[in-house]
Amino acid sequence: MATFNTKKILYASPSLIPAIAERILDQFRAEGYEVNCDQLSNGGYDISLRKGGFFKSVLGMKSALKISLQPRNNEIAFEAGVGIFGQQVIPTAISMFFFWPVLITQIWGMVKQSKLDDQALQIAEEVIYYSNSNNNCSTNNYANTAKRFCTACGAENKAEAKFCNACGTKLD
Amino acid sequence: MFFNEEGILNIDEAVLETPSYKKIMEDGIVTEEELVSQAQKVVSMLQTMEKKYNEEQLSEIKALLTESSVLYAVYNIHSIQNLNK
Repeated sequence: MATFNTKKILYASPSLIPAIAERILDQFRAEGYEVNCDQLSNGGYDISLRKGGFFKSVLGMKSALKISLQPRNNEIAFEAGVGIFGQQVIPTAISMFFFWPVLITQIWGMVKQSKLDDQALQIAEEVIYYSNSNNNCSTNNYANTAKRFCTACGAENKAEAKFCNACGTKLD
Repeated sequence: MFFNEEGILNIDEAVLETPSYKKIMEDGIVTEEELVSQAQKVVSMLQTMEKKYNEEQLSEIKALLTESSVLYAVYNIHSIQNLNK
């Protein structure tokens, strides 16, 4: 459902999934997000990301940005949507609350505005890019070329930037 | 009334505070009797409203309930469609 999620097939070996998941977790954890990651039996990963004030609780369950990385033939299926923190469901199966469709629309709108899904997708694509360009790429090498994303407006900044080049917000 | 300070719908907070929800969820289990009782409560409220409000007000309430039900129905139909893909 394109309205409520972002999907993309990443043309890379599924063996990169753990590295992509780790990189997404590290990046968002560094930005103050509460993170959760479940490794699935098929080799895929199910990631939950949330930050206070951004994702509200629904009937006591914490909503979150859910990122799914699934092996698909010789590719990786990336999907980002709104779901419940820590639950392996993407993104719309939880309909126990009558107004869940309204809430998911509103929360997804905030995700899109902040480009959180794009940020996660970009991290995945960067891991693949650096893996392709240099199979022996070290973590340090990657870190030197990594980018930072503004948590206020989602703009991309250089890794060493202290303030967002788009909105001026201090980068933590 | 309907939205929190961030403009997000806050009905679920009201649900958590509603005595009927609290009572049903007290033991963490929903029984058939509790389901029936809650359904009857909704019907009873609608019958009370039908006597209490004028036609214009009732039309607005009905429109809200109908549109919400449409949303919920099509949302679930869409989810089922996705499961079958």
